[in-house]
Amino acid sequence: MLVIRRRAGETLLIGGEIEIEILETGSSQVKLGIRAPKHVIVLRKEIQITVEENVLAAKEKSGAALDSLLQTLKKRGESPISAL
Amino acid sequence: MTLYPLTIHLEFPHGIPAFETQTRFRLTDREPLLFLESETNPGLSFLLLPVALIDPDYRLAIAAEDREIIDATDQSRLLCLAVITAAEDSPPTANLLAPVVINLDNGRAVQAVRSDAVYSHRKAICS
Repeated sequence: MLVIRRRAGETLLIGGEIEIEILETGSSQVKLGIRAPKHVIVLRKEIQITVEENVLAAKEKSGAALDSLLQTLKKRGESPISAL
Repeated sequence: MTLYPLTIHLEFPHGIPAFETQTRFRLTDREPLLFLESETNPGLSFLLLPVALIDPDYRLAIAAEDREIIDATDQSRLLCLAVITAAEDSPPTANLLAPVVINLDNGRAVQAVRSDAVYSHRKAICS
């Protein structure tokens, strides 16, 4: 991974078309400004992770996996409703 | 919490990640599992479980913009469910990074993706 140190107000370029500006830095967060062409999708990584996980979760649910899930729930003697 | 009806109708004003155009769902209780089914795309459904069942100590962190989407004012009226992935070749897991949060007062829901890295998107259930 390329590591670059930048201060607030400084900018870096990726591939000539994408510009990232450090707007603000704090003790636990940085605020970034991103300039990119319309066709470039900018996403928080956790959103992309959830997109991929949702696609997987929406696919046919495997009978074997459901069985083992039901077994686990039974073993614990819990019903989802009682946990609400 | 008291039992809610067997089926509740939900509106996801922004859809859910990967299915942004799907805004109307129903949550059906087929004990012991909960299913979230699209009302406009019959082929689209998710298996859900209460987050508390997977991690009794789970602490919900919902971003201000997500809170606004479901108009969440009363924390005690929020239902927090995890999307389950039950793939063929691996044990089922729960996405604790992005719980489905439902406001029971207005039927609005959002998949509230956390921006911290506290919880796994593939938390094992069968342990």
